[in-house]
Amino acid sequence: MSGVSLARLSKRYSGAASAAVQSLDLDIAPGEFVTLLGPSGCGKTTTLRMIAGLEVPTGGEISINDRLVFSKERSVFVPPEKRGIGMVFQSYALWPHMSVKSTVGYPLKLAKTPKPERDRRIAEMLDRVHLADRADDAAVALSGGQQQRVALARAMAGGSSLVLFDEPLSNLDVKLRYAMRVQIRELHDELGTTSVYVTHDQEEAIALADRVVVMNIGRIEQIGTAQQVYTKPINAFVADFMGFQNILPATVVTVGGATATVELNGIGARIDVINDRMLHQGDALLVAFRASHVELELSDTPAPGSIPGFIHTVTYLGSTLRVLINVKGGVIRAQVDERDFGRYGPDDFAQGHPVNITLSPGQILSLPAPGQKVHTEPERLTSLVSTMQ
Amino acid sequence: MTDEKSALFQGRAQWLRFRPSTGVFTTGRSMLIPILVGIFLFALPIIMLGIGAFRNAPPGLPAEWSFDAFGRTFSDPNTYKTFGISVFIAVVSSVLSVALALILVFLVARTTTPLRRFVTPVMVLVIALPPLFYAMSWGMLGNPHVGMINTLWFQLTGLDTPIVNSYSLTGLIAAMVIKGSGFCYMLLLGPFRAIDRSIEEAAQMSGAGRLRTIIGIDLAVLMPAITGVVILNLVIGFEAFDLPLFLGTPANIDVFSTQIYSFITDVTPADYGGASSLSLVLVVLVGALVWLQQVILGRRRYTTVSGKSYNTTPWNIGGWRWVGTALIVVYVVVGVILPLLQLVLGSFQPFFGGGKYSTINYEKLFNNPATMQALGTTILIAIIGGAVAMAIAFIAVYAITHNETWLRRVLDGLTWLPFTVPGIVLALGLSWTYVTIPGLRELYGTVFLVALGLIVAAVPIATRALQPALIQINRELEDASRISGARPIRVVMGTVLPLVMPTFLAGWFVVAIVISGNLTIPVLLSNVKSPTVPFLVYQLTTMSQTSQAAALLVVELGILFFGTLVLYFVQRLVWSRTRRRLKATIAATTARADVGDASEPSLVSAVAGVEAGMEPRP
Ligand SMILES: Nc1ncnc2c1ncn2[C@@H]1O[C@H](COP(=O)(O)OP(=O)(O)OP(=O)(O)O)[C@@H](O)[C@H]1O
Ligand SMILES: [Mg+2]
Repeated sequence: MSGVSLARLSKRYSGAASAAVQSLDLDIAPGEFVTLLGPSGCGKTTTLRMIAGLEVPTGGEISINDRLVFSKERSVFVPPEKRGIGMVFQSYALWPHMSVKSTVGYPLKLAKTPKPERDRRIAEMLDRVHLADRADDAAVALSGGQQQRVALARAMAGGSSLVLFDEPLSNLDVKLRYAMRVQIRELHDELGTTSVYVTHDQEEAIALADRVVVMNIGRIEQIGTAQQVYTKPINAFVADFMGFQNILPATVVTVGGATATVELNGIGARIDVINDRMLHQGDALLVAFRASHVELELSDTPAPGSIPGFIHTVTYLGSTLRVLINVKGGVIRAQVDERDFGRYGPDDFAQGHPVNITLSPGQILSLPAPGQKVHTEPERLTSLVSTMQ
Repeated sequence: MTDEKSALFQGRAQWLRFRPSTGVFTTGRSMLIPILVGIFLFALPIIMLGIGAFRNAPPGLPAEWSFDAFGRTFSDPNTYKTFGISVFIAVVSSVLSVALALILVFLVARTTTPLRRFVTPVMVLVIALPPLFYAMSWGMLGNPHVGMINTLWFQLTGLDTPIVNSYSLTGLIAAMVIKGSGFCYMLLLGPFRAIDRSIEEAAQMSGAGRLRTIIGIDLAVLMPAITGVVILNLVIGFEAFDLPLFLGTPANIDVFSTQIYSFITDVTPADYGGASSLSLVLVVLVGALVWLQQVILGRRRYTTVSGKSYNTTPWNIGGWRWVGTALIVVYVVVGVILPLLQLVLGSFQPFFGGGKYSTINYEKLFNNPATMQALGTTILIAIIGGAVAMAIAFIAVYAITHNETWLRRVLDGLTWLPFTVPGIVLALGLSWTYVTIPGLRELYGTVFLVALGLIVAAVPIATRALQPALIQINRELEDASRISGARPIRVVMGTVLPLVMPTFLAGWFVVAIVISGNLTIPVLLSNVKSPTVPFLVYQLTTMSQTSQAAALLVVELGILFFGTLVLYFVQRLVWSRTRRRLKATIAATTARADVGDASEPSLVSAVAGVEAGMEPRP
């Protein structure tokens, strides 16, 4: 049994130079909450719209609840209104000529639900999204957050087992976004629907999803639980997207059991990484680590096992300090948390101040070097590598 | 299989390929019917006209290919005379219209001239009144013997030489300038208002005086827009029919459109070949101008104005403002008040220019079943034809905006064809077409063909009215409908149509007005048995029953005016109710204060917007 299953799903818009979505394979279990995450233009919306039936794929197959709704080979195309799904749009897509009540009741009306049953469902849905008192207002006269709740109620009113979301919260302010996020997840759990949620905000994706699908130029880079993609990206693209601010090219020097020693190209420093990829001496790789995992020591005497450098710039971000450090042959990004502010004096972060950088092996990822992993966009990595050097 | 064959096979396979539709008109195949209908309605008349120019017999009769008609047309010195006069009239009236409009726009948009607020409503009226009205009333007003102006002049001075004569080159051009400046005004007001004030301020900071700023900066910045309007006016000038027919023909001044008409009506047997070949010349000329305007506007339109507009204090032009007021007063008097007055007064004279004022003309009208029938027919054609034109436009615009193949451009081009073709040429092409096609031939001379012709001529206006409204609808509103379980047709009827309904109704109204005042189409397509009001008005005038004709026109305009009034109040009523509901909800949320007025469509702005926006394609 599967909620949604995509096989070799492809889409090339007529006249477009390259495909918007290229041979996507994905299985979503019933009741699962999956987010599609990726940068702008990577094909998230296109994928979602193909699942909805609003866009005709140029190849592949789609099944919803084990029912084939699209197949290029078998010439099957079930139109959107027959797929029995709900959808929440980025622009809310509320009809200006309808009241809140009739908007939420529209899918039920089209499904020819008897009036008493319909009214009961409308009331129940409006209750769930806390809009019961606005039932007779024009939907477009509500505030942004309220409008999105109407859209949410409409998407779920029909009792669809699959609900699609296309960046539904991107037009809302931060506070409202948190509240809506909670509400969306609650509704998903209470109604037991399958949800596919498109976003380009990694934090949102991680907070909401059972599983995250990271996409890039029409392909899937990684599929995994929120924790997997956050802590164990499998390539430089996902690592970068998940907030690994430091991604540096390196070469394996020695391999010793569970760990390997690598040398950072150009910088020359040697660090230990966990050898979970069967590295061999001389292998090229990328090491990635978060700025917050960089240990800073203000000292002008180099210590063994640490990388010496000088402070270049410091950016104050409220709860953290972003520190850019010049090391021989490159830069390393570090971060100081609010609770550690007290450890440093006012002049400690002056430009040119010498520092020692320490990294612990458990927090360093080893990733395949550019060219070793097909799913990684070449230009992007070249630019990545060039900024690192 | 040979290469050629397999290529053919593949082509066929492409066509038959599995290509599901995501909505109405999204696939290439679904465009077949709209395009075929479009070709029949809009392209065929012009094609038939082209063919007709190379045939040596009238439509419907057996004929052979020949260059006779062309030879005759181009060896006739009269053709070149007509060409010269047409160009002269078009150029002079276009330049003068734009100049007059610019002055008025400047007075309204930038100065404190008293009475400036009257100009825009008056211009809407000038645009809404049909050319036939101006042709008729100016013919009467400036009649050298019995016209109101000259009668007054005779009485004041005791002289017996007329001061104005409508039946002359000057009279014709003056009438065209008065009517044409309405369009120009509406087209220039927007760009003028949208000029970024900071460039003016920059000029002033550099030491330029105010007048210098206006001439050196504003006019220069507006130049592409002005050029576009001038060219559009040239097109309108070449296409004008009613005014040259009423004012030019009696004075032996023939322009293209009236010459084409006289080839058909004034010679026996009608010279269809001559008319067609002359038409082709006109089509080429107008086509070139429309193309030129596209090039100029297409390239530079959006660079002229920033879109931001600031409300700086209007310029106090001192004593000059009284000159401005005087100009406004003269324009209002000459452009609206005098013509209306003359038409109404004339309609109460037993014969034009004399007799005791009485209602005899109206009695005759109301007692004549034929006239009453024409009135009924015209109103019916206006209402039903207007609805049909709007429906065609709706389908066409929806298909054009939703189709994902190159075919949408084909359909787009087709719906614009009648705009590029002068009314009289279209009428001629339509008669070629309908006479040649068996089945339609039997309908020739009946109201059905007249109605069809009027609808074809009105589609570009209808398209223009609907397009902005349809484009504005967020596609996700339709998607949401689909997802909610609506089938494509239901999406159109249940979501799209209600959303464009205000525009649809306003457009319908405007199109009905345009149809009811159209003389060019019925003049060739209808006959004595199936006249429309404009056709009857023209006939009565040629039979010197001017006051009778005036009465008929007054009755028609009166009905239109009354209809407008009723619609206006209905609209107010409906909108005030919806608005109250919106306001209540807004007050409750205090979220979006701008919903109230922004979406109110008004009939007046619709008339102005639709007709003034008649430039081809945005
Ligand atoms: N209707 C269309 N016609 C042609 N190309 C399109 C169309 N819609 C999208 N594309 C292209 O397909 C690619 C994927 O677009 P898509 O909208 O799926 O991206 P996205 O991941 O949703 O991006 P965003 O985060 O900006 O919404 C883009 O390169 C886009 O330009
Ligand atoms: Mg998107």
